[in-house]
Parts: sequence; C-alpha cells; structure tokens
Amino acid sequence: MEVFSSLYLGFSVAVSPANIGYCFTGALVGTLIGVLPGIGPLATMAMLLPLTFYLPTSSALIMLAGIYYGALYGSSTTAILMKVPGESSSVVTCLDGYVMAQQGRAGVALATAALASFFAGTVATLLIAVFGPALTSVAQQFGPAEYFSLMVLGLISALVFTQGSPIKALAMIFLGLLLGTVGADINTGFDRFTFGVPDLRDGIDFVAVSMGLFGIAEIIVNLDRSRDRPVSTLPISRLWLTRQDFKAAWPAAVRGTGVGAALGILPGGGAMLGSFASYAIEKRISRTPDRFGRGAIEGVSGPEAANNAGAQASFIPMLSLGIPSNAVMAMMAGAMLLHGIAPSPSFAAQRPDLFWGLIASMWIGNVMLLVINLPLVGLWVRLLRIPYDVLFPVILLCCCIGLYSISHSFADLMLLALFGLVGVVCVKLDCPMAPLMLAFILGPMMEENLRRAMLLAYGDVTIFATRPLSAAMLIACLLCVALLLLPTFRRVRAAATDA
Amino acid sequence: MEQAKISSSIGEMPIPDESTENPAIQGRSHFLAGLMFAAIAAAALFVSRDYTSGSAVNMGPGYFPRLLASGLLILGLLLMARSFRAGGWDAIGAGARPLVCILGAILVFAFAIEPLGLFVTCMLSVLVAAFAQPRVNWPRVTVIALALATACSLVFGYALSLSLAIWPG
Repeated sequence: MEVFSSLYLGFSVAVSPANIGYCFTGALVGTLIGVLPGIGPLATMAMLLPLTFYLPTSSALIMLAGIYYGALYGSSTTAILMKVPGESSSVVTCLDGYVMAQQGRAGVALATAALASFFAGTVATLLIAVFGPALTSVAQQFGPAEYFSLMVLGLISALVFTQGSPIKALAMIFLGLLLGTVGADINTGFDRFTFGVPDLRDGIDFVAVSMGLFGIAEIIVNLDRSRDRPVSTLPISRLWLTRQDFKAAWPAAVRGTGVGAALGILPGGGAMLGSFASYAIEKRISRTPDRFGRGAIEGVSGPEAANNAGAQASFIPMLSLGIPSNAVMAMMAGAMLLHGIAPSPSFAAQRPDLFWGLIASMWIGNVMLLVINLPLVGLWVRLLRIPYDVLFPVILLCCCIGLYSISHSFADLMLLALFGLVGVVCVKLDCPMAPLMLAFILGPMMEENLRRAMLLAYGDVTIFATRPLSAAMLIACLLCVALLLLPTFRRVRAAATDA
Repeated sequence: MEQAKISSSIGEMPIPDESTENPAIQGRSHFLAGLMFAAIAAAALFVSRDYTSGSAVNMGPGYFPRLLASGLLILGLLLMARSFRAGGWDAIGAGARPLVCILGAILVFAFAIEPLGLFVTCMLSVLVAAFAQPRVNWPRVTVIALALATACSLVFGYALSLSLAIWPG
C-alpha cells in the first residue's frame, strides 16, 4: 500500500494549480510543435528546454514530460490525416490510420489513437509507480563497477535499435563520450580540450548541443531537401467509435500496452520498437490478416498504445537507476542536471516529491492530452498550413534567444552553430545522432564510475567480470553484439527500422 | 554489408532520402564518416598529448579521453576500410546554401545581440536566414522579419522578461 501513499504525495505535488498549468502548457506546446511535420520530439524538447530553465525543478520536469507526450500525440495526428509521421514511432500508424482517413473514418482513427494512448499511459504510469521503487532498491547494491557496466550496456543496446551501420553508431557513441570529457577534470581540475575558452571549463553546454544537433540541423536539412509539404489533409468527420469499433480495438490496445511497456523498459528501447512489434503481433494473430494496411482499426490501436506505453516505460531506468536509456531520456537527465539534481538511484528517496510528482503528472498529462487532442484537432490541422518560410525563422530565433537567455554566453551561440554543422554532416554521412546525445550525457558519469571502480580494485580490470551483477550486464552486452552479428537478426532489424 | 536504409538521424524521423536508398553511395558515406571520426580522434590525441595519463589505479585527466580517442580512431579507420568493399562513389549532395545561411544567421545573432539588442538582431538574423531559400521573396521576408522581431521582443523581452536588452545601447 506504500505505492498508494506515495502516489498520494505525487498527486498533491502535481495537482497544485501552478503544476497543472505547466503540465497543460507542456502538453499543449508539445502537441503544437509535434504536429508540425519534420519536427520530432527531440527537436521540440531541445527548442523548449530554455523555457523550463527558470521554473522550479518539479514544474520544469513536469512540463518537459508534457512536451514529450504532446509531441508524440501530435505526430500521430499528422500520421493519420496526412500520412506524415512526426517521428518514427508513428510510422506504423500511417499504414492503417491513413487508409481509415481515406475511407472517411479519420475521426474514428484519431479517437482510437487518443483512447489507446490514454489507456496505455494509465497502465504505464502504474507500472512506473510499482517498478520504479523496486528497481531502486536493487540499484542500492550497485557499486561503481556495476554502474559502469550498466552504462556500457545502455550504450551497446542503443546500437541494436539504431538505424543504419552499427559501426557508425558505435563511432558516434565514442565521439559523444569524448565530447563529454571536455571541461575541467573532476578529480584534478585540469582543463581538457578547452582551448583556453573559459566557457568550456564547465563542459560543453548540453542545451547548445541538443539544439544544434536536433533543431538547427533539422532546419538546414529540411531547407536543403525542400520537400514538397503536403498541404491537403483529409476531412475528420465523426469523432466517436461505434460499439463494433471499440470491440475490435481494445484487445489490440491491451496487447500493445504490454508489448510497448516491456520493450520500453529495456535500455536503448523507447517508443519506436514497441509500435513495430505490436503491429507485427496484431497482424500475426488476426483471423483476417489481409485487412491490415486496408484500414484495420487494430492496426491503429495496438501500435498507438505500444508507443505511448514504451515512451512512458522508458522513464523507469532513468528515474530508478539514474541511467537514461535513450536520447529523449538523456535530455530529461540533462534538464535535471541543469537544475542541480544528478539522476541516481537515491533520487526517489531524496526527492520523493519530485519523483512521485513527476509520475502523477504523467497521468494528468495523459488526461490533458485527451482533452487537448480530440476537440482541438481541427486547430492542429490548420497549423499544418503554416508556410515553411515563416516557420523556420521562428524555430531559428527560438533556439538563439532561448540559448542566449540561459547564460548570456557568446561561446554557447558559437557552439550552437558548430553543432548545427555537426548535425548536418552527420545526416549527410548517415551517422545517427541519438547515440551521440546519449553518450554525451553518460560520458562524465561513466568516467567517474570507471575511475572509482579501478581505484577500489587497485587497477584490476577483472573487477567488472568478477562481480556478479556487473558480469551479468556485460554478458547482456555480449548478447547484444552477438545479435548484431547474426545475419537473420540483421535482416529483421533492417526491415523494422526501414519502414 | 550494410543494408540500404531509409535514413534519418534527425529526431529519429525517417525521411526518404535518395542518397541512402542506393547502396552504392554508402561506400562514400562510409569513407567520409570514417575520415571524419579518424580526424577528430587524431586531433583529440594531439591536443591531449600533454595530459597526464596516470595509471589504471589512479587515473589522470588524460586516461579516459585518450582511451576514447583511440577507440574512435580504430572505428574511423575500420569504416574507411569497409568503404572500399562497399564501393560506389557518388556525390553526397551539395546543399551548401542553407548550411551557410542558417549558420551565418546564428553567427550574426551571436555578434549582434550584445551591441544591437534583441529587435535589430532578430531582424538581421531572419534576413540572413532567408537567403537559405532558393528564391527569396523580399517584400514577404521583410514583413516576416519585422513581425518576428516584434513578436520576439514582446514575448521574450517584455512578457517573459528574460533580462535581454531590446534596443541598442
């Protein structure tokens, strides 16, 4: 029953009028920007990070989480109405959602997506409330060696789920870790790679990196491709489900929630994988598999539930172990660090108000999204008509002003331009940026734990293999690598990340 | 061999891109990516040449960075080596114009914000950024720049009071 008293504490934090306001604002702004094609959740979060800088910590985290769900929701809307997924986890939603819209059932598809996501969000919130603290108690036994191995596992498993060449992704991880070493050395205060720039002594500013890689680079690539932006959207029609629709949709949503949550907890997991897995399962077990791709409602409710459950379950490793498992969580961790809170297993014990407040706000955020999305969907559709020549200067200025407002630093703006350049080069060369971002955040923690572990073990590297928990995690790493080398798995991975 | 994939590293959003659908082109992207990683690693090794390594027991500031840079160097060389096996050397695509203009706009912002204030800086940045488009409709761009400068000054300067100077001086 401890969960309930803790949840009560959480709700008492999250239901304060100010926090409800921030949760609502986050969800609203997240949806608003997530709806805009070509701007994924990462870019949205990067752009809006400075907004949360001046807020109290709990409000800042609540708002950021709201932005994330909002962006996820927004991208399903465009997936259904325009066949333009805002980000990869709603790629699957296009398959049947857009066909439903073509059949004049757009409103049903939107309502199904919203309700399935809401259901998954509710279940996932409960899961976090139950499993978060349980994992935390396991993590209490972790020493530096276990932490180091866990972070290695997190980074290696990120490789498994990234698109494209694993060697490139691995190189991006090394580059991210290397970027993380910039600044004064924690133990000796010795300046590393600062080139005499005082602003670099505290490390490369994380907001500048994330904005540059995900915001600025995105504008440049979009302008370069000058993609034809589809302006026509399908009409929405009736927003309600018939009893028959409901009966077809809910079992898929339940299965999707399970699959999504299970895959979301895994390091390197997140929203995308679950939605693909759920679609595959629904198609496999359906008595009429040929309906899929022709407007099957299960093809919308399952994946939508899975991606929302996965998105939320990926909070579990970050909140309970202090280890972000994907780039979005890396940003959450970065935001916590900006507020002077290091993500760690003792987070829940030291700041129960923050921990439980955030969890409670997740559920409230899901309710709000339901409220925001269904009645306002017409407004979102109108947003899609904003011409790009107005949109891109807005994003550019928001990034510049937002970044500059944090510390009035000229060097940060230079870094923004530099990382914009890095981002474009990475896109051109097909190098995935999410692993770099994750490694950049984990880098300093990894170095600290490596040094501490080696100090404790008198420089004996075998410490990582002889401590059972650490060894188990390293074995999991090896399994991931073996998986990557397996030809069958490579084909499956290619197909899954290809869609 | 890596499979041809629809790529996009940005925001994990798959955007169809001709350059990666063709496996032949992957060779070049592998080579250039490898070269980039190797060059960065070499530079990092060079810059950190005087950082003390210490020992495994008591690591100095140079230990971890050099470990990483060495790993990156190996991966870079590996990618370059693989590129020859992948074959194919086609253009990655130009697109220098948006790159220069957007980055230029950020530089303009960086240099102008302190002396010129928010309003003028926003105007200038938007005007520079506008060159990123293949055709520039000047009357339209001017209106957008004016509107955005006003909106930013109102929102960031007055409403959120971020302690940014709005006017020169």
